[in-house]
Amino acid sequence: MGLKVSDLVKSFGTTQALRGCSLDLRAGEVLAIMGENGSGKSTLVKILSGVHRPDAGTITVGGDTVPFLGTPRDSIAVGIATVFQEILCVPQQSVLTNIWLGQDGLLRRRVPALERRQRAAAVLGTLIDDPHLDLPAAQLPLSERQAICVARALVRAPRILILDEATSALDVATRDRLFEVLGRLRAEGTSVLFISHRMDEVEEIADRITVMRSGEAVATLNRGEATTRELVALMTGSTDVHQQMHPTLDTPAGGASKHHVVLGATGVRLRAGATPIDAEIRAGEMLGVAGLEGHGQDAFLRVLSGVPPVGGSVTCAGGNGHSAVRSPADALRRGIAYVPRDRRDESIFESRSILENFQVATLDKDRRRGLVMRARAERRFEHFVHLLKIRAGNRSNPITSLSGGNQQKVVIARWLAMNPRVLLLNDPTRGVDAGTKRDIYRVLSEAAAQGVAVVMLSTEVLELVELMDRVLVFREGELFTELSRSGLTRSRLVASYFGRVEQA
Amino acid sequence: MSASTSPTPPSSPSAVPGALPDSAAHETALRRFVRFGPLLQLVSVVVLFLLTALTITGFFTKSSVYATLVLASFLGIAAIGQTIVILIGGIDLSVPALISGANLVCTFLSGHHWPFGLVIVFVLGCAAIVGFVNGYTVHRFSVPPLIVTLATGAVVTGLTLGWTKGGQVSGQVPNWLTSFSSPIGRFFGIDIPPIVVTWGLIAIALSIVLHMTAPGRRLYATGANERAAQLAGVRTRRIWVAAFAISAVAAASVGILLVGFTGTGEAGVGDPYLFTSLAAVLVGGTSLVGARGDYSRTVLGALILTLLTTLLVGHGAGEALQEILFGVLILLFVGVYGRDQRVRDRV
Amino acid sequence: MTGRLIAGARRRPAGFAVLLVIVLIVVNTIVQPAFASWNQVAPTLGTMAPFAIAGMASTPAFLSGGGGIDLSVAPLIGFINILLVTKLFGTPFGSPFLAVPILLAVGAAIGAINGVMVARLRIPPVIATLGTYFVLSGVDLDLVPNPVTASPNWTDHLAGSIGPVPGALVTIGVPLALWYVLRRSAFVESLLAVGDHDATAFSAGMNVNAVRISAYALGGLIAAIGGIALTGLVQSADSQTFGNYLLVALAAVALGGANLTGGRGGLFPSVMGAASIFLLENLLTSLHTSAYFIQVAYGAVLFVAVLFGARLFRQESTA
Repeated sequence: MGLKVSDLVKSFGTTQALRGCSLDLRAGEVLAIMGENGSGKSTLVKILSGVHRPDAGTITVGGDTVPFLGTPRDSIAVGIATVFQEILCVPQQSVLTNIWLGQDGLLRRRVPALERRQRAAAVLGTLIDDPHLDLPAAQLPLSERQAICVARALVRAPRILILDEATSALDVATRDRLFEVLGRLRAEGTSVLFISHRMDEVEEIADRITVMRSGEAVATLNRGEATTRELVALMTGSTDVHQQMHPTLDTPAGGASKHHVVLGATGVRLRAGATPIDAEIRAGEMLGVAGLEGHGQDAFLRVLSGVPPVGGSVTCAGGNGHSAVRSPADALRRGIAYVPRDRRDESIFESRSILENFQVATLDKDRRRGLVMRARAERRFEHFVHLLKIRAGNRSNPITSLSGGNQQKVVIARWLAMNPRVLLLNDPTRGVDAGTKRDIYRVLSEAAAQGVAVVMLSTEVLELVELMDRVLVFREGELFTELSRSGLTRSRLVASYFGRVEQA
Repeated sequence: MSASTSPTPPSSPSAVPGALPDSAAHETALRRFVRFGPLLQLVSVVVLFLLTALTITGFFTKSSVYATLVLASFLGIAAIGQTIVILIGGIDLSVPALISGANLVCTFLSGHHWPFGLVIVFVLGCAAIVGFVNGYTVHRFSVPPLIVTLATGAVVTGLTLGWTKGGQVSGQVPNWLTSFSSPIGRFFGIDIPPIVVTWGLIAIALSIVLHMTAPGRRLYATGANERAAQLAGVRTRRIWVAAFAISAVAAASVGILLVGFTGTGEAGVGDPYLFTSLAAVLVGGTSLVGARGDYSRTVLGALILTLLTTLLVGHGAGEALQEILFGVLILLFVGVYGRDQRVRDRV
Repeated sequence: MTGRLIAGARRRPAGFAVLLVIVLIVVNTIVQPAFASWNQVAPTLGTMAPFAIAGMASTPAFLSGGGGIDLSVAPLIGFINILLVTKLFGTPFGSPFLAVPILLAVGAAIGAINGVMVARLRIPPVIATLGTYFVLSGVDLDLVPNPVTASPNWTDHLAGSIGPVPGALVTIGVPLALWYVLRRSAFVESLLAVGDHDATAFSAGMNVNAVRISAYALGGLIAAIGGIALTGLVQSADSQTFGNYLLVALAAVALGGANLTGGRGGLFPSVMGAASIFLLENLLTSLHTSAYFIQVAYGAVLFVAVLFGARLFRQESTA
């Protein structure tokens, strides 16, 4: 019972998540999908599970074309069960409810109470010891909550099982037991689509590996056919193509070490029990922070922006020596600007105009006799329109009239306008087109040349390699390694994401 | 945002989806108003006015029109706070309790020979405290504003009724207050009811505050995206507290003005404002989510509701039909303006 | 100490209300020994029934999450009361065997309209049910501009006794029994799951819209029972009597310990919430407290209950 996907296309607004993705999952195999962040894996999963509807393309299950996966219910009905990347539990309900979620009709229970308990205990029991079926899910540790999500899929006895990063929250013992289960299912003819960032897991469980890049499946390899290095090359794409999209920038004026330290992390712990992190950030340098999704780089950036860490502290240079940054508001006052990651949830005021979105953090600069002068704001904004090449039409139009890339430019302008000493950016180029990226890179380099300390989290390997003076790589909530300009290559960087240290 | 504005096919990876076409930059003020302004509301006001004038004999006289405007002023002022509170994503159901409470206490105290200036300061000060409690509680404990304001409203009603022995109040109000809200009052010699002029001035002042001052902008930012506002340095709790405090003070002001209008204090005088203040905001087109709208829309909403009431009353329709139409209007306008996000976008 | 109290209450959210009810019964009996006499029980319960049922009717909307609330319960109770007194009594449809099914269907249909507006049209619940509130209040006022006294009828027993059984046990008992049946079925579990985290429920294949619409319909159905119980109590139709049920119903749900953002709660806790408010009012009245102070007490109880609830559920909902 296989699954065939042909030419799936899906876009969200102006962002194209899938551009004609095709792949083939055979009966009784484990097919791994690998790819960088943003390569379209999660969108593919959400289409197969009925959460999103594709714009074009066909899906075939066991030889029959599936006409329409309009809702998750439709997907489940054709025999697909999905474990999503996020841990989706109903927190106040019991483990038992969580496992059988969605199986009943509005009134009718499809499975008798006794059987529910027995089967839930049996399935969850293959993953964890002594499952407590009656506890609210919220009271369980993360790994067990993820196990519940896996059990919810397994209890449906699916023909096709999709695991989207389902192992990332599992502890090692549970993961090993899951792999035993997967082996057994495979032998029984179930097909498994396995999405993981962990090279070792893929090598252990997958029969074949499909590599995705920029919304397409670019290659499918049998197990053992490719080395880590080759896989990484496939995931990042050939140099030539990318070189055109990302123009090589002049290396930012070196000798950053000559400048003074503006921000320091001392003994920062991102989670209890982690090795403390010490780091210094200097004026005029460009520092990258990177790692696989959820490995601590995001938390580290937030700590720099003033969010109190689990342990340790962040200090900022001030008039009289360094002092601790107490809160995000405190950080803002001291000239530490933070460009958040999620544009829609954390940056943009959707109902407000372009100009208002620009000036919100620097309203005081436009004030005259208590009134916010539009002309002043326009003048200030014009500077950034030219600098960032913002295509903005009428400044009074809602910000949502702009493309994602131009929205992001307005957000960056918002923060540059406060003349920050430290500019923290959380994946500012995610989901924006190549031209916009180029403009952002240029402006950030110029800012650094003028003495701003630029700290940027990026999920895109190339911009880290080409833009940064050095990159801090995070792994499992700890600082894994630091790569400096001289030793910063794409393969070394990606290898370090997966916990491998490659010699230059 | 749509593909049609992009010069290249959307599938092309190099497509740089532009902003609006360049012509949009030179859009006339009129076209902008048609696209973003409260056109529907403005047309409704004009149509309702004409309908009333044409079908009800005696409406198209100065005194009738002024009387209608005075009633709209009460509603409009009562809805000041509701507008601000809704812009930040809240709701204030303590408005009627504060109107009635202020109305009673004001009459009661002036009956006990308090100087009237002191009465005003005292009543508005108490209202501000109630508003402060509302805003602080809602924001600090993230509890539903609807329930909190309903609760404080009940406390205010109970306390003021208890204090004034069930609203049996009588007091002498200053003449200026009576003429202030009288349809035949004069504003510095001009033949317009002072309360109408005041309402107009408030509307202008409030529009300036909302659109052209830093606090106003921060209020909109808080309502549009509280998390983003916090990240941009806005102290959102202050905004919440201030919004509810203004709402309470505005409601109490209506209570005091109504003393002048009816000549005495009356228990339950604020009751009709419970949902009409909300209806004025919503019919004006200010939405419950996302900080879309402003006070000028509420002014139109208040005029629409008042004209509609006048029209219905003029045709002998009772309060019943008014309420039904209010309900239908709210559902229609909200169906157009403010809808929630879909479940599938939250997976 | 507070921590232990919170932890205990989190396991049994209704416990606080049950405890309050017991204490208040005892205090009421001390203040007014007649309170506990057998022939007082039926009338007392009869007076309480509309409050308790209004509380129950408001509960499903809250449980369904997504900012769920039903403001239209109070005027719906009034509407059913008016419909029964002015349209059904004195006609062949006035017999309980015809009137009850008709009224329950009307209540459920109006609730379902709320549900469709909330779930399908995605109108914020506060607004959708506010619109219904206006429409129903208007219709109520239109039907009975002035109070109408009911002709002698069967509902009298519901506020008194049916044989030896207090009639209120029937009116309060029917929604509870219905809820019990629904708990045995899949519905309540689905409702709580949807209210808890609708995205998860959706991703697991649940029909979130159907569950939400059913929840509002159930609220409407229970409100219809409330309307019948109210008729039994007041034996008249009046478009003004339902006004104060709005506040009491919301307070009852909050005091019963339901999570007002969804996912936790039930009908019995709401009955306990309503009962504690009723008993408090009864106590204050028998102490000759002024009606105004009773209203202050309502407000204060609602205020405290909602803060208590926020404290109770904060950790779970952010987990």
